[in-house]
Amino acid sequence: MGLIKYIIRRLFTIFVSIIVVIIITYVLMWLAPGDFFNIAQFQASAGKVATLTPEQLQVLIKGFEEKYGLNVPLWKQIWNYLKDAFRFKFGPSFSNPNEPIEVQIARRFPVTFTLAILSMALAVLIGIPLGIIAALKRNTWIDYISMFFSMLGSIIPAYLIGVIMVLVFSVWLRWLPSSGWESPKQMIMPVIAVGLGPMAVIARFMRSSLLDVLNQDYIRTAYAKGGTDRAVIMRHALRNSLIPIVTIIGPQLAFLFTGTVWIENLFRVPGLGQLFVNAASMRDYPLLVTSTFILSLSVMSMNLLVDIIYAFLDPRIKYE
Amino acid sequence: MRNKKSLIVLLVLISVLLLSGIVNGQKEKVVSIPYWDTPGLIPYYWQAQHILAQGTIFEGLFGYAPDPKGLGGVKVVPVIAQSYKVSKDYKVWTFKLRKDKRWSNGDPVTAKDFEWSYKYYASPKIQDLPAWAGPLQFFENFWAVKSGAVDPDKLGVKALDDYTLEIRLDVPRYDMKEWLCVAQAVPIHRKTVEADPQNWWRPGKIVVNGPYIPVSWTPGKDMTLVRNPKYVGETGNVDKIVLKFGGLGLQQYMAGELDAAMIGNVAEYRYVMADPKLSKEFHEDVMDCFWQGYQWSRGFDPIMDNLKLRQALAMAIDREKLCKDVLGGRALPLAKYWPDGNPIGDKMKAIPFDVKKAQQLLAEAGYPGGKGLKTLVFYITGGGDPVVEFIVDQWKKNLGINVIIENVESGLYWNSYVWPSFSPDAKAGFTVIGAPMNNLEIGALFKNSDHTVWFYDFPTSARKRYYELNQENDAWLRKDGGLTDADWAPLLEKRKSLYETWKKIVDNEPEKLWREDIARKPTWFERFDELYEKWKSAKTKEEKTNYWRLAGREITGQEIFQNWYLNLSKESKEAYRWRFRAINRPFSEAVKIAHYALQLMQDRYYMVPVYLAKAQWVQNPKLEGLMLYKFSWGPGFFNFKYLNLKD
Repeated sequence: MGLIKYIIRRLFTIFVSIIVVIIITYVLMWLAPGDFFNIAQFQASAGKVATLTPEQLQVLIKGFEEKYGLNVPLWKQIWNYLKDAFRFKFGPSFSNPNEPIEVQIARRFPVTFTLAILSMALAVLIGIPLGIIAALKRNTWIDYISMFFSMLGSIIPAYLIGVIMVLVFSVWLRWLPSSGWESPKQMIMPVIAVGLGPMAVIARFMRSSLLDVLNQDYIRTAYAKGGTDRAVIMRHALRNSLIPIVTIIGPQLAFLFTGTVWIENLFRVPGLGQLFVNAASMRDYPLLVTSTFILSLSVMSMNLLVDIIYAFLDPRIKYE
Repeated sequence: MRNKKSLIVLLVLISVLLLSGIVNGQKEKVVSIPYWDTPGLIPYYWQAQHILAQGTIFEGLFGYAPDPKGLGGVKVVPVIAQSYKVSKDYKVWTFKLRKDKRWSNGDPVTAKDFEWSYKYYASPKIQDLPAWAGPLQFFENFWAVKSGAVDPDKLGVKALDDYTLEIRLDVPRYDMKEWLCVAQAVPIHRKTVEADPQNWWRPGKIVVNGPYIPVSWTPGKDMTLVRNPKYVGETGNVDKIVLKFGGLGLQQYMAGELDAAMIGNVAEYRYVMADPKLSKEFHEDVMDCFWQGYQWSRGFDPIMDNLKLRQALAMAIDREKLCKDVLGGRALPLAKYWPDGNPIGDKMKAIPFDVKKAQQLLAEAGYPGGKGLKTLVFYITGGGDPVVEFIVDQWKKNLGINVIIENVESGLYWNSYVWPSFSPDAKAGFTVIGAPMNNLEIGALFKNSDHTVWFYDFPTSARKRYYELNQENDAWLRKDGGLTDADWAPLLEKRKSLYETWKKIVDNEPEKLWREDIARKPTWFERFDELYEKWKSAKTKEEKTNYWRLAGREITGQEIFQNWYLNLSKESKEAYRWRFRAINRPFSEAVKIAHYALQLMQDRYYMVPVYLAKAQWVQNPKLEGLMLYKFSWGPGFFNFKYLNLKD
């Protein structure tokens, strides 16, 4: 019962937080130099090429303003947006008026979700064992090699790893297709490229977290009671050392939902990242607000999920 | 018995092999081409699909065919039009259509398709039509239809019968054939659109009249087109085209996943040229519908009024060195708006690279050795620009001038520094500019250099006044009042004085075409007087305020014109006269005289050409008929109906 109440309370907090985030986003865009909402500027520059008269330009601007709901005061624009956004209706975008934003997101979200989940699964499946081995073999060559590779994963940008993989596996060896997102073969390189960064972070966190736990009194007690390495680590140390890992996996996953733009572009993965990055560079304000909406919703939902998982990992944590 | 069985097996095997050979002989010809990420297929939007709509999935009355010597590498040819005639005043164009053209569902393509489509695009239903990108803006009553004031049926287009289309224009246009090639001039299939106005364009639903039909599409990834079996007209032999968006073009090409790939940077170019196989598959062409260079920022610092300073800067750049050392041979030096070897460029004089002359001009400008000149600002976006760094270095080295580079967020950069009429916040300095032609049409021959006339070439004080009047003009849309005679008194007063000046301008302007343009009916004062009369008989307060506001805009509109005209330099006035002469004759004739206006504008040194980019690509040697798209959005490939894949 405590859990349900807790979830309801948190959902309400998420709801309020998103409203605040959207209001802040709108106000920031309104304050930003260059005026996000002034389609007139764009139209004027385009129109000049065709030497439109001011009156003709006004006709075009009026049409645009009506389509994008810019013909009302800012507070009303925010209200109209929020009203629709919580029903997942986001209207048209400047950069793609062919179809509403929600249709674009609905099509792209499963792709990004799959890429993010597979990459995170790869990161967890490799990162956690790597961190454990490094911690248990501290200051040995195994530790150094593990940490060297995890360091490489952190410092080499994903797109560079992607380019190298394409050269090796597509151009030279011709084992894998260089891009696309239909077959499992096409997914291998993007998943590895995206997953290596989080894998490195997880491995290093896992190592230090496990080392911290291994120095705790209760671990010494467990050994004193005659526990074997395997029993002490698996039963007492591992579970507790996973708590910080869960903390970082949540936001990392949320970031992957929108932060894979280079990899998406490189491997022609039709996901959300490209859409959202273009929103900022093209000053596509409906899409920009929506990307903020989706990103905040993802981060807050992930944090909620993480907090719920905490209790399963550590029974001392209670929901109040 | 065993021998008999073996014989049968052998015969079956031989048959299979023979059959597979035959099948192989008829193997589907598939071509994969890199393409701009296409967010939809509605042709009238100014997005990647507008290039696809020009001859690949849709066709209009006219279209582009390859012509290596033509502007943009194309020539205009009739596609659905069979013949045409035009009235003496170039305002009524009548087209006879081919009778053999079909939609992909078998329906005939008729004049009614054009009429309905044009009225649909013009209607207020399409609120965000980028009308500046198409020919409808010139159709009779287009703006009234678009604003909702007039019914779409009043648009100047009519199917006289199934295969005769009449287009009536508000103003004479000599280049309608050229304008009718663009995507906003193609028809769409009425029944399909009306059956599902939101989704008619999706693969599986779309009905097209071009040589290829889109059958699948994943935004951010690819689109597949297959041959339209109902298409009648010239085509190549390719059955299926896969357009791939994004990715590592060259690597995809090397992996055998693309039949052509653009070369994106110097490193790729060098790699290709060093590779014995790739270098044989290399192609390049100049993007001569653009010019790349710099323009003075559009702020209000009087320093930019100094012609000799502007001239000195333009002459102090070693363009050869820039193209060789910085751009690695991927560009040609360009010191005039059109390059040599082009009918316009051949008649233009280039800006010389002459450091001594530049130094002398700088001294005459009042800044010997750069002394006394304030630090100027070169605005850029995106973090770094080696071309700008080179130019700034040349100015420092050759003239002793200090220019700092300031990085600006891209939206702000393009909207507030590069393309607006004026940038009140901009410091004295520059931005880069890559000025393209959007499509073949006479106005585009000037490649935006006519901004010199519109927004630069009058004293700073007048430019500032222009900006303020523009603000005032916008403010009229929201002003309260207009209910009493007292509100009208200042407007009537201004109307009187403005009319006197207007009359003098009309009487003294030597170019007849410009005079006619200024005095085109209804004139500003006729519109003003009409609004005043309407105001007198208006019943409601809203109506009264509205007429008063519109009259106020007529007055500020005329003030803007007079401020501009009276302060414009004599060179720019002359350039504008030549521009009028060019736009009032057919395209091929306009090309012959466009250089007069261009040269006058170039010699004002506000917008200065520096280099001409090359399009470079590798291409499957078996592939023929790949057309380079050289207009805005380019370089890329388009008009795929000419593609041929050799066996």
